[in-house]
Amino acid sequence: MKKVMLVIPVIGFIVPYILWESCTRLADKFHLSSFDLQLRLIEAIHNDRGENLIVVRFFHNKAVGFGMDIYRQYLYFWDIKFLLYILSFVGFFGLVYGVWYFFRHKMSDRRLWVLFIALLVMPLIEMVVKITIPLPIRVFVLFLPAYIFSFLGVKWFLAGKGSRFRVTALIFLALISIAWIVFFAGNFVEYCLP
Amino acid sequence: MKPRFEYILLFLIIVVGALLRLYDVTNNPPGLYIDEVSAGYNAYTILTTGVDEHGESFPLWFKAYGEYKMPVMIYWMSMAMAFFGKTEFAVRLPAIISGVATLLGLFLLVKELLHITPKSNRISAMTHLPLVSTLVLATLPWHIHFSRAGFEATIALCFLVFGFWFALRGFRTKSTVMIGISVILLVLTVYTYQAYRLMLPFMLVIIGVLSYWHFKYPVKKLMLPLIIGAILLIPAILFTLSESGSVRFSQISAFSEHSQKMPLEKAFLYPITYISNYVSFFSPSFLFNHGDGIGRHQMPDFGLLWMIQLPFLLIGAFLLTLPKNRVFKIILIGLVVIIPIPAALVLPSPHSLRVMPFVIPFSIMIALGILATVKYIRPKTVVVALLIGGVAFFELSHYLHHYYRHYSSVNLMDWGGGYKDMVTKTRLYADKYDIIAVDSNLGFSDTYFNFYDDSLNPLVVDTTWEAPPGKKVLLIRPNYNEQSDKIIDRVHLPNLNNDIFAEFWEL
Repeated sequence: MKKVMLVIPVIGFIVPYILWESCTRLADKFHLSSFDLQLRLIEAIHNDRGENLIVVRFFHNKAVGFGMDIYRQYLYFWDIKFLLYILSFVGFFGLVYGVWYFFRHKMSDRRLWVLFIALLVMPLIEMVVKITIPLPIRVFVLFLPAYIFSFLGVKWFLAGKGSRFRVTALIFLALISIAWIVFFAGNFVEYCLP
Repeated sequence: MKPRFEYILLFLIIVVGALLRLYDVTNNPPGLYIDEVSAGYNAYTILTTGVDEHGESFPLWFKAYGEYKMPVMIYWMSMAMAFFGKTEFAVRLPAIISGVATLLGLFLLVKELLHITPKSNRISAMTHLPLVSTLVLATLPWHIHFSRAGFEATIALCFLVFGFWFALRGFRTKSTVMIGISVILLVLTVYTYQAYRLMLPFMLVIIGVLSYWHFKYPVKKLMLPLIIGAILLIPAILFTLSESGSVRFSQISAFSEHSQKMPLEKAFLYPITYISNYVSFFSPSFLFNHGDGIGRHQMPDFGLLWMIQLPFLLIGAFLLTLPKNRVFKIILIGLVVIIPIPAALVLPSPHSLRVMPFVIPFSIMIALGILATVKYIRPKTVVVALLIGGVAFFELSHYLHHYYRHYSSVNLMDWGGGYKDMVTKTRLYADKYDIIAVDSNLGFSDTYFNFYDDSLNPLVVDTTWEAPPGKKVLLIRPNYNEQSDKIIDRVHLPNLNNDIFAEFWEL
């Protein structure tokens, strides 16, 4: 029964994945732009009229601006709603549980460390690298570590005590995932460009 | 750490927290926003005449723009106005006091949580948790921002923190009086901020679980405080069930956009909409990037928490899931789960004001994460502490620079910027005219006139209005890009472009 249940996260990955077919690339907010930064810096410096020049340059410079932009854009990749369009509710739960379980019980496993680092680093690559690869492939590669962690998370979750409760919880999440895709597929356009 | 030294540090943290909440508070945020002005005017009329702006004597609910305002902040403002007059400072004083008091409340609460958690059952890094949690809250942009303006949520949060502290202390010392005080404070949250009407029952579940499981407190002893609480809540319950009490909810309900759908569709749509709203409150972009995007609720391009706090929040949250720390777990995880429950029912979601109590569990979790990190990297503590401290200091100074240099000009319109100047200028001309009229497109201007100078009493008119013949009229209107020699004066905004806020036309 438990092995059969592992099909659920896989379906949870495939169904939202279909949505990505309609897009050519991720929305602008996922990518760094030096032009946008320059404009914002100019505006900020203008607002500092009369302020000490050292103070102005200390707070409004490209290093600080880029640093903050990288941080902000990196966090967009971890936006929960965005992840729901990648992994579905089941997959998202699996990812959270997988990462938690890894730190709780599997920290000595080097392969998982590699996977975890890849999970953290992949969005950074997507942010800066501009290669014309079809978006579905990009998304697949980008979130491959997330898919694996998510799958492992569901597997570890099902291996715990009280299997009836766990199976029921997963089925419940699967139902929410289906309803989410059916009713909220339209909101997906926020994250990609056609 | 010696208790005396701990209290000196606490005092210093509270002084820093107070400075961050108090400095230049009448000018920044730049102006009173409409809810502050409305509450301030009601507070003033209550103080001077005993009736609200609609002539109702000492009301329990204050009517304001099609909805009803909770009474606690307005009455507190009245008291502040008795000392400081009808000023911006008096309007903001209750929130400032509550914001600073919450720091003390959090310290006491965490101290109490440590007190009731056996040493064998807690993470060793927790010893300095009360102080570090207080420091985190004292410098948290989310809490600083809402403590500097007349937000009811800040006051309610203060009652909540002290309510929890009194409850825990009451259970530990078996003091019915303390539990009674806790009940009164928790009831006060309901009379302070709307969201607590729905949040409180869940909060009581947390306290009930603690009382039953951890303290094994005799139910009989709880009866009297609970009966008193229930009696005090009757007006709020009746109000909530009434049409007036549900007006606000019907205006902002998250489900109203689906009201035309078929019942079967609704059965799916409602829960999914709710879940979608609920999870949005945990979005990293909301917490660390840009908040809810409402200019009044945070600065543009700044999150509700510091960027540097993200890893510590995750570490703190992870540590809470470990088998130890049952009391911490029940309270903190319980709060994190409960707080968005009412907020997810309405739009917009996420909304930083409605989930402001998050600052309590988040401050404690971040502090826990910091302490655990410091303990883990002990051999290199100084280097890492300097690195983290340096980034934190930069973030704070960057925030303050933006707050005092940019926010007041960029987000002026979010705070009713320009209205005060408009009223002041009108006063200069008032005696020369028979009628003073204000274009209704300068929204809520009558309330601003009431607050800043209620003797002017202008006529609110629409764009089709024509001045009565033979009368000398001063018409105040927004800038419609019209040139005329009838324009005798203008109110400019102190922003980069010196935009025109209002024009004074002589008709």
